[in-house]
Amino acid sequence: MLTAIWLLPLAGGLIVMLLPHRFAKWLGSLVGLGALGLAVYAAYAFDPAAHGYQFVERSPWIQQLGVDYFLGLDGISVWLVILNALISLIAILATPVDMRGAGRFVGLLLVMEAGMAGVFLAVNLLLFYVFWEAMLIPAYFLLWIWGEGPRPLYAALKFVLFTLSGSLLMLVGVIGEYVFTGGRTLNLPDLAAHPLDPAVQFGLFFLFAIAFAIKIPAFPMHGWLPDAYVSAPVPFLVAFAGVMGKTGAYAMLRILIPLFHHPVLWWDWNQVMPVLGVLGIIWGALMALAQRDVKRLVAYSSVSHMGFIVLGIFSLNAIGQQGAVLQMVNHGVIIPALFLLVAWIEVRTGTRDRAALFGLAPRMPVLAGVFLLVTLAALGLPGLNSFVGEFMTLLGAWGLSPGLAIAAAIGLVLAPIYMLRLFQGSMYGERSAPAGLHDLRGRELALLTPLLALMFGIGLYPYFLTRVMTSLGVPLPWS
Amino acid sequence: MSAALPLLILGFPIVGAVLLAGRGWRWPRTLTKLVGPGAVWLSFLVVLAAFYTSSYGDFTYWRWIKSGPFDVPMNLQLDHLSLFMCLVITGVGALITTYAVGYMGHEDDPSYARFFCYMDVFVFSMLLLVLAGNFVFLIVGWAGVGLSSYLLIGFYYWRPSAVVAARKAFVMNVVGDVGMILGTFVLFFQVHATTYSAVFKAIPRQDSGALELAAFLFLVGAIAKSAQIPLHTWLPDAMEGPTPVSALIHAATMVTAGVYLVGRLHPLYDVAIYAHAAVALIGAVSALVAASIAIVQTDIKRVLAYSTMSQIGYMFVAVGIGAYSAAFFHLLAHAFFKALLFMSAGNVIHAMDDNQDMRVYGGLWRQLRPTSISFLVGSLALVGVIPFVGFWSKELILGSAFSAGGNPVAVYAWGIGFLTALLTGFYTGRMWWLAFWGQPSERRPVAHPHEAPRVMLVPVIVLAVLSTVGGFIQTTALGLGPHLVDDFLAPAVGVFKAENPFALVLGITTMLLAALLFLTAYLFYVPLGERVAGFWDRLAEVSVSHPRPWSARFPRLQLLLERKLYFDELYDAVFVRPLDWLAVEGERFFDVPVVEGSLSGVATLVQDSAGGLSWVENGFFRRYALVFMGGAVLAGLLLVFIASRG
Repeated sequence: MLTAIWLLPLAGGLIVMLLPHRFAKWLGSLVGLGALGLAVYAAYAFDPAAHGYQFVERSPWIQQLGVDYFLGLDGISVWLVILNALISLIAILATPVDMRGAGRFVGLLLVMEAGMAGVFLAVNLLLFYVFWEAMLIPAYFLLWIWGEGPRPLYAALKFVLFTLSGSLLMLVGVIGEYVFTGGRTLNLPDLAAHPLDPAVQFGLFFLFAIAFAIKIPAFPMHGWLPDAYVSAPVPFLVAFAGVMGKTGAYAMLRILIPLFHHPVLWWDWNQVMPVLGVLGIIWGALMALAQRDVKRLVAYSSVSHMGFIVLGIFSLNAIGQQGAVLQMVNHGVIIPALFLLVAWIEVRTGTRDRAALFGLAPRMPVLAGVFLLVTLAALGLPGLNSFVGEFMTLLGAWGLSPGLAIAAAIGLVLAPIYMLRLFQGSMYGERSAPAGLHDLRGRELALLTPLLALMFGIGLYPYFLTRVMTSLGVPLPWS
Repeated sequence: MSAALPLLILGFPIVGAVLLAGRGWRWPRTLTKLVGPGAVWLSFLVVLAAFYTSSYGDFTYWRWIKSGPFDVPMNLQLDHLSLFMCLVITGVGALITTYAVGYMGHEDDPSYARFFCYMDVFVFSMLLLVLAGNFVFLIVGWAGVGLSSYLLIGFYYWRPSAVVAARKAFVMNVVGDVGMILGTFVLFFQVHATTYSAVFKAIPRQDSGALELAAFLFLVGAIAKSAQIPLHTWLPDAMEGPTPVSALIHAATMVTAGVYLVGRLHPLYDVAIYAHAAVALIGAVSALVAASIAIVQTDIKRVLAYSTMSQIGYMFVAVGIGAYSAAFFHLLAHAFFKALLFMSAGNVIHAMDDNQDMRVYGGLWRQLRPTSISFLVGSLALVGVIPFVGFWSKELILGSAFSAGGNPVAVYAWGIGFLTALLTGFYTGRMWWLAFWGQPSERRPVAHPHEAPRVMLVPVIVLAVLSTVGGFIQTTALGLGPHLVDDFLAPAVGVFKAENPFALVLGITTMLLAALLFLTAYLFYVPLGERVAGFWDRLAEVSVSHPRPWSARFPRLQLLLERKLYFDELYDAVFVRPLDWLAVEGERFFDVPVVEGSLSGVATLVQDSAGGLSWVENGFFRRYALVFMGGAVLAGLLLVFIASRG
């Protein structure tokens, strides 16, 4: 069944690319819906009481090297697989029918979905690497061919250079891991069970850490992000920002910490990554304050949110790490909604300049109301989903070192400043925006409805998600 | 059954809010009028039912989160304290939302529904705040009322000042939220629990240093929400909201949440004595500062805003010295008379074509008789004149502070509170005489104002009656009579025992001096020619007839107070501008050249040299990738080599 979760969108995507454009969107949606159905069914059949991987599929793959085709689903990946399927479906549905090359666009989105699903499912390091690279290829093309703005090539190229550097470092790391373990296996549970020599771990840690940090992106590797997000076409951006960043964070939890926990736990090194997380929170928020382009503002707010995830992961306790996984889902729910709203505002008004937008609320009350809810979720209003994640990552960080949590809390104060500037600046004003702007259409509202429902649902009952995340956390002194 | 009561109390307002948010702006107005206030009234009925059936308990509904020792249930606690607060919130809230049916009548249909939607969200959040049985849901309610406050301050979103004021209130409240979150962390790492019952049970066994830290962090939340120094600057600006909002949120209920918090956490503050003393001191200083600023304000709502801050200062003094039930009695009294004052002021503002400058009113006594009488009742209660409700509660606080023997802070608090009471008499008098007495001002926008419609008058009159007779439920300020508030709250917050025979004498003296200053304001603010002949005329001969004699003599003091002690300017210079500077300069000198520039130099080079798509063909990228691939392969081979050697 797990194979079907990534194979269906891959096959579907290839077929969609071959078919005439006019079939693309509905067929793509159908495939996306099927993938979502599979993912939801997996979560439904998932046994919350059991530990370890479920629905395991394992068979020899490259026998000469002893590499297995090994897929599994556990309490962390199950939610990310669903998120991936849901957000990809929304991305396909948000694609304009009259888009240039819509067929190839939707097809590439599906291929990217397949790659990301594979990343979340792979339990073998080489297989993981293959999926990791596979998800990048459609992303490159989507960014190159459909890029917007003045310098789409420049943005795409920068993204390629950054991520390719990371991937190659990881490739070196994978080879190194294979070599130093004696070439027996690359299955993650086996690798974790037999940790390497601390000095080797130290070297490999950096190769993987840089690769994952670029993908998230964690401070200070976020250089590719603003340009890439600004020039990305919105349907692609929904999946790109909503899911792809999480692959880096997920990899940190799945690979970096179990395999290379020595550098992570070693004296002062356990503070390095959390400090980068905190810097990301504050720096992202500060940069968001400085932006006039609303898409860029949201992009930087994303850097700030990803900082919480890094902080939670490297707090090294169950609370912080569960908070980080929750936050991955939360961010994956909120950021697509924000980008969609910003894009719809741009379509209607023709501008993304914060200073040029004003008085939209009287013209589009429904959009204003939805935008308000999403803004509140993004700034971490208690009661909505983001609050749970941020609260838990901060609590976990406090367990590691209270100073980190206090510094990170500055981000909580900055978030309402930039988010409300965005919301109030565009929605309110002495004058109303010119008449004739169409309010949120039913179709658009329908796209956001599942996201809004999740914002409330996760805020009210987060235990539904965290109760299966039993594998997380280095045992804490008090537990 | 009783487990359903708290859910019902919360349920009516939230369902009302959802209905109004979803369809309300397309409804006929009658339906909005029914649903908006109706939800609050229904909630009030359920609270009354809980009150009469004594349905107390700690009800757990579902497990919100569990992660190792971090185990938070969704539980609601209905005890004497939360029920008391629920009575105030829904009772006064129902009256005020009913009043708003008339007050907001000028708005168009969507705004009308939006207003009641926000009000219902507020009532829901405030009820959640007081009913929450653990710290996490306390924070949820806490932030929820901050949100509704933000929404309602910014209600007139076409006014830039309202939008800025709303954001300011939100951000300041988030500062408080962060304090509460960190305080919860400290307590959690001390006792590994988040429910009130578990935390309070464990507190006596804990190290007091950590408890002090937690208590101070919660205090940040309390002063941010209750607009105490130094996080008070948002409250006067919050008067940008519609007047019923000022009455309900920024006077009667939300701003008293800080008092509720300290009362709720009294097991913590009883142990953390430094933080506890800080509560009383901050309250006393805030009371005095706010009262002195109120003397020079000219906007009638801003005077009331500063007086709110000042009165909450009294409540902080009371909870700070451990006289919890006195604080909650004053909270109740304040809810009555301050809601009354705001709503009568709202009637005046309505009649004056939305002009809020008291200097242009004058002579309303003859034209708006019911409103004027109500405002006078509220004023006398605020000054603390017997037998109005403010007398009993304020003198109880001052008496408790004076009598609290072993507490060194209490005496200072009493001294400052005494001074504040005198200032209160003066600024209230100034407000009353300026607005209602003398001849109508020539600059008055409406020469022949109309009295408010009945839907606005009836709630005002109900509150006027309550402000007059409400104090008789507890008359212990005079050392005799019933003490129903003490009795009712005793199971939740204990009893404060302190007796001093002089307290009674001092209380009477305070009242007489304050009342005298109320009358003295007449001489300052009603021009000589307009005064009632007779005794006052003769007194006037020995006094000065200049309208602002003291300020003429102390122009610097006047300016200092008019500028509200320069708090806004200070925060602007210390936080707001440096933050923007840091953001802009940080982007220019670090993010763009260093973070983004690290690889984009290469990218720019490629793009510039090649241009268009031709870069793919010119081989640069291929070479670049090749170099990288080659490097990777080399590194891999090196690793193989090392491993085979080792």
